[in-house]
Amino acid sequence: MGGVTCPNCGKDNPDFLDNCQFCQAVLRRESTLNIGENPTKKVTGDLEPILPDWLREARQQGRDSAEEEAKKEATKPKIQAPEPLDLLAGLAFQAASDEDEVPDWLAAINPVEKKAPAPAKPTEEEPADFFAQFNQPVKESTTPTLGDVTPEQKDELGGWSPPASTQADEPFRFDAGAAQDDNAWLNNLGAPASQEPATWAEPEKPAEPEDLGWLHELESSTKQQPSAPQADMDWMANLDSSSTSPTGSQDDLSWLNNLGGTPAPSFDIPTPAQPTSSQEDLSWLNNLGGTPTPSFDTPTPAQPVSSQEDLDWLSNLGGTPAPSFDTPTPAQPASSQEDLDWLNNLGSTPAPSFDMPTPAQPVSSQEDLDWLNNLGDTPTPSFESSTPAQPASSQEDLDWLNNLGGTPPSFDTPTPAQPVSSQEDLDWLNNLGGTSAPSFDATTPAQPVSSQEDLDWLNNLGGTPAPSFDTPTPAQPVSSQEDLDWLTNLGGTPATPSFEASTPAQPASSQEDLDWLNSLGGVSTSAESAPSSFAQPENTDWLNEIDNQPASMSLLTPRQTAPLSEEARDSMPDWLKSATEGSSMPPLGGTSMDWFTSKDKPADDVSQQFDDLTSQAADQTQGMPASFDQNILSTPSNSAPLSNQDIDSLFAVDMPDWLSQAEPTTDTPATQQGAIPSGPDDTLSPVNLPSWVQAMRPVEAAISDVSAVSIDQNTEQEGPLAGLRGVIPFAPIGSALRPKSISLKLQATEEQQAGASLLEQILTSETTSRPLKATPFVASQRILRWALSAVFVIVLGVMIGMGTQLMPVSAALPVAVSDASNVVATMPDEAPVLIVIDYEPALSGEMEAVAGPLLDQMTVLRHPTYSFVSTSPNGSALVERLMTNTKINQPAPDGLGYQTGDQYFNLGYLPGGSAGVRGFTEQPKVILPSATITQFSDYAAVIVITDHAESGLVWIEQLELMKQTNPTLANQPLLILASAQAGPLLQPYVSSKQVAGMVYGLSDAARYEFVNNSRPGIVRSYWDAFGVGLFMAILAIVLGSLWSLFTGIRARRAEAEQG
Amino acid sequence: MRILTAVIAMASGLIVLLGYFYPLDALTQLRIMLTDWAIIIAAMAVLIGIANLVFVQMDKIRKREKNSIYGGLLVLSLIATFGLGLIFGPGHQFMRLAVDAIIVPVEASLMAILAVTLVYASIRLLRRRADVMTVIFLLVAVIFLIAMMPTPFGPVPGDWLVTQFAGMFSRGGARGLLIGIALGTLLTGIRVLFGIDRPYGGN
Repeated sequence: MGGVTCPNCGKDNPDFLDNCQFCQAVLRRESTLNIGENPTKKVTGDLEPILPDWLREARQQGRDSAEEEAKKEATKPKIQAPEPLDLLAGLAFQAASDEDEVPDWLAAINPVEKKAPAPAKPTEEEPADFFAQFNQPVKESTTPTLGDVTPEQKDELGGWSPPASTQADEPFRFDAGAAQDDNAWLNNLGAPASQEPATWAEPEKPAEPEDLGWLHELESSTKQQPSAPQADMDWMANLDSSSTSPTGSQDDLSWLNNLGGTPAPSFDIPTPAQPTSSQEDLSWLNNLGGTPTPSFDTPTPAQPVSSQEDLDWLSNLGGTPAPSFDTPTPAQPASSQEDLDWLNNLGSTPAPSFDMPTPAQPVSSQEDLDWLNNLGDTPTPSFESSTPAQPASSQEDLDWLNNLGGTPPSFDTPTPAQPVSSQEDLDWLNNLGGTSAPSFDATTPAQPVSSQEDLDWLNNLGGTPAPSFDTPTPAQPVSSQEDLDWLTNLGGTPATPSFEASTPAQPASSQEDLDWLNSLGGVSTSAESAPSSFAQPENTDWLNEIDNQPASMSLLTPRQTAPLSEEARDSMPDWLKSATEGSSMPPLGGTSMDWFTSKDKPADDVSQQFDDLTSQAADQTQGMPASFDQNILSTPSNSAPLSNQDIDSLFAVDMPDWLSQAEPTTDTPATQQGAIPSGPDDTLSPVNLPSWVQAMRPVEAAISDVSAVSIDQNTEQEGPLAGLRGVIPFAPIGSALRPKSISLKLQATEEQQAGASLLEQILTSETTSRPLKATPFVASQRILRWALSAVFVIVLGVMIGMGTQLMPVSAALPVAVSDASNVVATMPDEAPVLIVIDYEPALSGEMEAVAGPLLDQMTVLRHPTYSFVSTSPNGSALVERLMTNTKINQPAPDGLGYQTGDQYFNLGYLPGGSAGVRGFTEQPKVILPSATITQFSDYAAVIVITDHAESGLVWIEQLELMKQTNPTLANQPLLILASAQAGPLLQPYVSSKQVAGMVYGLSDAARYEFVNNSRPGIVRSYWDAFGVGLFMAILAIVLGSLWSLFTGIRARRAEAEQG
Repeated sequence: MRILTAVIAMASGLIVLLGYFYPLDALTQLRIMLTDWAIIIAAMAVLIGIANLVFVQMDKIRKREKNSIYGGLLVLSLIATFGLGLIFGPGHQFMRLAVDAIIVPVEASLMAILAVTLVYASIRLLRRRADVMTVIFLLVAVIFLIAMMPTPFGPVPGDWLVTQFAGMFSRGGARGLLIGIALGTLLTGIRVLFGIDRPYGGN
């Protein structure tokens, strides 16, 4: 119980007391917070003294332990916490180690994770076009940062070349001014990590998924270049602007893959272990022109080698082998020289070798561009003079393009960096198809002109002149549909000059830009039309081959370009040879050819076809790691020999979104599998992820696509786990290992819901107050009790008050009553008699009425001496009442005049129960010193007056035992005067003669009194009331029971009806 | 301590029991001594019980619990009665007045209410549960009441038959109860002697 400890004496006091009840000290202190009072703020430090000792000690111990711990820690030597493992450290090492293997020009395209050393991003915007990059001067301080590519531009790659897009972490920049040399843009292609690399300019704007931004930028860059040579280089500039992202560059360069009809390696972000792949990836380029590329003898560092190898294909683009590079050049120059030779051969004429050791950029630019001169089967004038880096390089770079189509380029004016380069860059494209490229007006704005001019060559690529571009196009990318028009015409059909001046700049320019592509391959849109080579008839063979492929053939099968000469084959580098063997990627040209053949299809169809192309490409690359590793044109079966990383290192060219994004409606199952599964409740529709994104997905999804290749091997393709097998468990899409989508909804059965609702009802009912049932003041039950009580009290009171004696008494005595009467008659006179009073005051009326007649007779006849003893504390107090009511101690004439202490003695309370009885029977004087006898056998009789059988049993048992041991007690009678409730239980003792006689109840007492002619006692007065009372009780019970039975049946029937 | 109490209890019981079976003087004397001690302890136990009653009631009064006033009345009555008894003796008229005027009437009244309650319960017995046993019980009760009921016309005819019939069943039932009581008492004594039951505490 709650209490308050007194602070003074320490005793507990109830909480309601204010002062201690023991020492009167004040219990409530001012500090005690009473209800309703606001606590007073106190400083805990001040409360320290009032804390209990145990708490104080605990606090002190805590302080001591804290101090000890602090000391221990101070003395402990500092141990450096183990640094977390850098799981990706190998990537950097790998990148550093493989850095040398990446060719320069490829490194320029796919810069190998050099974000740290990479300088600040160029501020100027870079054209999104592939070719525009070549016009922009190579910035020395900048490194290609493909990572600057926006996701949208990356998306342009999509399925067309996903690996390239995924690894496009550094944009490919191509400064037109710095790369005016022929080799400049090529340097930029293959030397992203070079000291003077070409960097991808940041895109001006995020390209639309299907926009050919690079083409627009190409056009814009061409417009910006006033000079003719600039015009030729415009396309280069635009290429640069459009190919700011690796996706753009990849997009820009990817078409190159299709020039010769051979699978081109995908342009990927240069990754550490890429050199081999780049070598392999670029092998196809050797076959691009149908001539093998010479092997590269000069050992070059990683990037230069790769750049050399990467560019060889360009040398062969025109069907003539590129001369080997003899002069050992520094990373970039040497590689650029070597890289560009192929370009010289692109036009089936050998390009002059570059003897002069040129500085990095100029030499490279010169060399890079020479091949372009040869691209159109016409020699280009070599650039001997050390032209300014960018202009000269641009001119040189573009010459080959002019020759690409068989017509020499015309460089009218020395164009500024970008324009010149763009113009020059584009001229070759004009000649690519065997037709002269239109001259680019110098007055055109850089980008638009450049784009126009840049794209003219594309129109000529297919052998048909491209329409002049009148409307300048902005640098913004073009819609995918319009961008794809050139592809339709790539098969040789001229693009219908449906572009009007009123058309928006973007579409017009894009269409115009793409027209050149229509004539690129010289293949008519009709399937039966013979493909036309962009440079020579033989150059279009590859296109014919593509068109003539049976339908059953997979689009993914590699296609060979024009047959290579034996020499070319022998001199073909390995990487290029592997490209000729085929790739896992579908030949873009192949699919493009189909796409090209559908000239009658509207732009939408074209886009759809291109989407198919991208989707197919995505399918092939979906299962592959997120990298531009695999060759775009390689088949799945050929993916094994080609390392993804090698492929990635070759071409890190951004692909336009329109090329990379797959058609949603034509998604293959693989693509759909790659899509994020949506739950039943998701409202978002699955999105066709670009291939590069899909490639980034867990390998489980990737492996499922290449299940035909190695479903059991689980060989990682890229990343830090490249080459390892079984590291990541294979779990096909939809397999059991795939984590199941968990519904956010609680799945509960109906039974559970019912239980929950029931529980809720119970809980709510607990809080809701229930109206108390207003019990009526008077209830039927109470009325009945009151009635019965009233009846009994009134009737019986009247009967007793009246003292009637109407009820007759029977004269037949029971046996036990008769025996008791006999005992009394045979008692000696004035003998001591022990009377044991063991009844409660509640039954004193009955007991006095039962005991009165026998005691009265005994007193009258034998004048015994009574000794009263009681085994209950209340018994001794009832002795006088008994003597009074029986009128024994009443004075004569009414009573018998017995006096206490003389004729009767009250011995008092006998404790101990049976032990006390035992002891009293053995030593009455010892147990009860007031006893008048010395031995128990002196008592002539023992009368036990009890209302309960236990007391009678005790006396009966103890006396019986004493009689066995003390023969003097054998003749001592034992009489029992019991109530009606104890009589039946004591009857057996009477039957066994252990009890001499017994009178129990009013009935026996009345008969005893009637027979013995005793003085009228209280029994007779009770007899009439007793009879009436019994009659009323019987009547009440009978009638009430019947009524209760009837009402109970009726109530149960009513409850049963209510249900 | 538990073992000591058990040993004392067991020894005392065995001595008294053996003293009944073997009337040896020493054993008898020892038995008588132990019996006397038991009587004295029993007498003191009554006083202790009274004291405990007083303390409990006083605690209720101190804590101001519900109906604690009745406890106070009890304690006052006890103190007064005890004091008067010590002073005047149990035969004094004051003591007889307390017994005759308070104790006996109160308890007698409660006994009378019991009679009415029994009648009322008998009346509603069939309303609560109307089954065969209930009906039999009520019939038997009514029959015996009728047999014992005095009538103005004399005893009910056949009351002797009923009485004998009732006596037969009552005697038989009574004997059965007595035998059961005796056996239970014997078993309880044996358990105490063997230390199985320890009503004196220590379990």
